[in-house]
Amino acid sequence: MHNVWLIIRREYLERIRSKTFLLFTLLMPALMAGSILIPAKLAEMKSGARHIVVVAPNADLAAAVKQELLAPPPAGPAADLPEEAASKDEFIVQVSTTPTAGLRDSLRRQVSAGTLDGFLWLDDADLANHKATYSARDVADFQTNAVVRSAVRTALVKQSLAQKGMTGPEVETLLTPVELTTVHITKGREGASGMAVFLAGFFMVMLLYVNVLIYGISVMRSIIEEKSSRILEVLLSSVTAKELLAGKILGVGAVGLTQILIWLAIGALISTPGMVAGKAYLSNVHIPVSAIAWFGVFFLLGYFLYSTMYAALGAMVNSEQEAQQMQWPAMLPVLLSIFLASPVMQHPDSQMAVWLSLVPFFAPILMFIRVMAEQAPAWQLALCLALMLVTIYGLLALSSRIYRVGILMYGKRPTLPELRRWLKYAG
Amino acid sequence: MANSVELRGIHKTFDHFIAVDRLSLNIREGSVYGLLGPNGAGKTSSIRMMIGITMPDEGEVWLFGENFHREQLQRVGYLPEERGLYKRMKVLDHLIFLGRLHGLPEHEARERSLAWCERLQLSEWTHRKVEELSKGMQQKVQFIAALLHDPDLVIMDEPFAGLDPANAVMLKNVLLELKKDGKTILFSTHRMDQVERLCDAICLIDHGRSILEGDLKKIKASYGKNHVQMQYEGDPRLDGSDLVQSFNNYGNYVEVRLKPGADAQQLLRRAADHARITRFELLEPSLEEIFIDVVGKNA
Repeated sequence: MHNVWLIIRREYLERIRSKTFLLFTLLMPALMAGSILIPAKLAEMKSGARHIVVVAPNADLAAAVKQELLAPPPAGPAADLPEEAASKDEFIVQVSTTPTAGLRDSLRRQVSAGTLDGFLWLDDADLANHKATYSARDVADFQTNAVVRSAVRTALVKQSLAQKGMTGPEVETLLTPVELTTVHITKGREGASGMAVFLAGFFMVMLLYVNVLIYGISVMRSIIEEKSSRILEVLLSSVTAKELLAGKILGVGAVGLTQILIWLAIGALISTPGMVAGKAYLSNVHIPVSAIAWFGVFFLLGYFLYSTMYAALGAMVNSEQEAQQMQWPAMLPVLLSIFLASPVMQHPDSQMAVWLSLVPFFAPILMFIRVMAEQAPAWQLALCLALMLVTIYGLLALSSRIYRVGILMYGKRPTLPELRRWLKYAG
Repeated sequence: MANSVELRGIHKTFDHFIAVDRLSLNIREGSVYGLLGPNGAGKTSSIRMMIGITMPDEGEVWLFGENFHREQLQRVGYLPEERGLYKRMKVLDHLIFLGRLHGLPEHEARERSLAWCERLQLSEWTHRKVEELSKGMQQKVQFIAALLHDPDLVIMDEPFAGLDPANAVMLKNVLLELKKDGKTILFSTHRMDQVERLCDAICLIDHGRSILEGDLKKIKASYGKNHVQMQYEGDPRLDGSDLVQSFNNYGNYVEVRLKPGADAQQLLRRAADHARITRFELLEPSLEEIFIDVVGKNA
């Protein structure tokens, strides 16, 4: 045990002191914060009002469309996504009721010259088929497109309702959008909104995925390094291969845990009121303490599961290039669980989700999603943890046998039959 | 005197390849022991089994008069053939780490590391990273690491391979000092000249088998003084002589290997009849000749 402790200590201290650790620990939160704040900032910096021309043979329709475009955005359905409301485009609208080919050409020239942002062409033939044309330089701006489309539709609906004899206020009432509030029920209490839970879950799942992979691969890389620097045999004269492997996995795992704790601390600091502009956006993302605890549990279990596989890989190969070709058996289940994450997120209580989340290789991510969604009964959690522990134990036994032989083998990497024989060697 | 190492019929196969074939040997306490053999003879495999890096399929390893157990490794210093260090660790931290793995308390490991670094002129480098050191200096750090815990048994696999001349002399001196302190030293090599100068006893292995083992002086004596070096003027007429097994003639100097049972005095008388002999010396065979002889017979 003393030896394992010494190896953990060396592994931990050398890594914590390294510049890479410091850099990664600070960069990751910066990256995460950036990925939230920068798009929000960008949206605020939108190029100002859009100047468009509405062309329709019918003056009433043109005026109605103009009115819709200038109307303030409806409150309500977008409450979960405040950025959309905040950045709704403003328009400067001109109206023309003479749809001639000459006008069209002149508008085209103005758009390409940049004096006009776009023009909306509404002629009777198209309208009869529920069609309209919006021409602009920037037709990929889906937000503007959506606003224009909805303005035309609303204007048409209002017009036809008015023709059927409805008064203005009646039409307004009829067209008021329904506000759907999503409320997440947790243990009988009402919690944060659905979108917030989704985002928090997504965020933590990505963090879990990144960490499990990074630290698993880190174990592999350091074994390759020890192998190629030939330090291993020096160590083996005083410690067993098992002690070395255990010390390495525990030491690197402790580094990963430390990093997560630092991130949590930074996160707590940032979410303190008034710290950051994006605070309003984050404030309804409430992450329960139990979720953080489960995050730790699934990080550790996932890390142990994958790092043992990566350790065996590291012992089998001679260089990182070789390792890259061999990584897929360890990589595949992680990637699969990321692919499966979205269906499980949508239906966390479906039969498929239950079964998949019990598979030890998927569990770190899929079961964690179900825990976040509070859709994992205690018995499933217990079963899942037990299965993972058993798998980790089995993999550890297998890996340490491969490791023990592999670290003394230089040169050609083993074929499958050779690997099978390695497992049988006495030691 | 007691034996520091006893191998009792250890046997190791990898797949169908027999690496070590029922090897037995005894290493007396306080002796310098040479494990000899061509590349791939099984030297490294034998050493690895001696210190529990791998386990023999059959047979037993006894260290210090007890069946092998891992606690004994705190009394063993090992310098593997393939050796390295953590490149990004500082020299002193690295030595302390390895010393502690061998059971030294931290302060003890630190003091001894500093003393050794002083002795081998590394004092200015203790706070540098290993990767900043020259190859020769890294070799010194490796020696220190193997000897830091003052082991009773020092095992070195091809210690002289890849050493620069200065470090080779330094290592030889360190080994001689260790011997004076009563430590047991085992080293493997395929270079016979080092063994002849340093070793008390040897084991010659080939294809995993011991083909010659024991006290070096006795082995040499058993081969008898059947070699003659002769300096002459004229022609000693050795061709076709019934006394001569083989000879190497250098013009006015010849090395002769006598046939078994041949009398050197008779050779001298006959040669003197034809040439003027200025020097005539009877010699033991060199280890290299014994080695070639024995390996040849076993091939």
